[in-house]
Amino acid sequence: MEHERPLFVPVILGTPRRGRMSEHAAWLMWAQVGKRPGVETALVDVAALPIPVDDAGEGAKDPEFAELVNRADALVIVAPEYNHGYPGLLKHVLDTNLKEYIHKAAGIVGVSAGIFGGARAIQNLIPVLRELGLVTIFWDVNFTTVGSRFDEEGNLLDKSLLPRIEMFLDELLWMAETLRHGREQVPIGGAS
Amino acid sequence: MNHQADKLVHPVTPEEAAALTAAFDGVLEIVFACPRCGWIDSLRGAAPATSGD
Repeated sequence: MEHERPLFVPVILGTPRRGRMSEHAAWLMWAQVGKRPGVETALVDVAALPIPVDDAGEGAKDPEFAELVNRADALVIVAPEYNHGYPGLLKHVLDTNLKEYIHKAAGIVGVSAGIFGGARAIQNLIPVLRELGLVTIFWDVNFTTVGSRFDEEGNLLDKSLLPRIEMFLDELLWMAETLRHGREQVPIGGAS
Repeated sequence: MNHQADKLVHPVTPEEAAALTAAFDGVLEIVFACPRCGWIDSLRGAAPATSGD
């Protein structure tokens, strides 16, 4: 459905690691989101955000990132799995906002070098997103054995992932649209 | 602005911490959204008083 105001669904690349394969996954998701009519997107690289490490939480807020999240209707979070968890910098960055997330949709893209496709990172991240007020969808995208999924230029070699990505985005955009209506039109506690 | 959410958050000042109750161990972040442009804003408020029997 086309909106007078497009849905805004940024993709967050959740790791600063040099040589990160997640970057290919994030750019692929950005491209797929951008193909959807009535949807705008942007790619946010946590490595590029000027967020200090000598503070935490909203005290470390970056105004530009906060404004981007404020404008967003949903987030695609690309989270590689490191030691059965999500990257620490991703958590640090997410923690810098709060009201900006509330009642917005979130979909998680897991990435791993092995066969689980970031499933453990996803499971560990969901409670964090819940506490931040985000509404997670029940579809994930899992980039298993990510080293073999893309060529050196970042082109997708395994097209079998694309239908899964489409289902993920269908659900995410449905949730984004529904929650936008709720945020803007439905008062908490019922109509006064 | 549409009052769309009340979110319990941690207190950041001694005054906020002193106002905690057993039922609401936090401060309310009262969240609004503009029905025209979607902009989000919030106020920090005291948790509602609880009545006991």
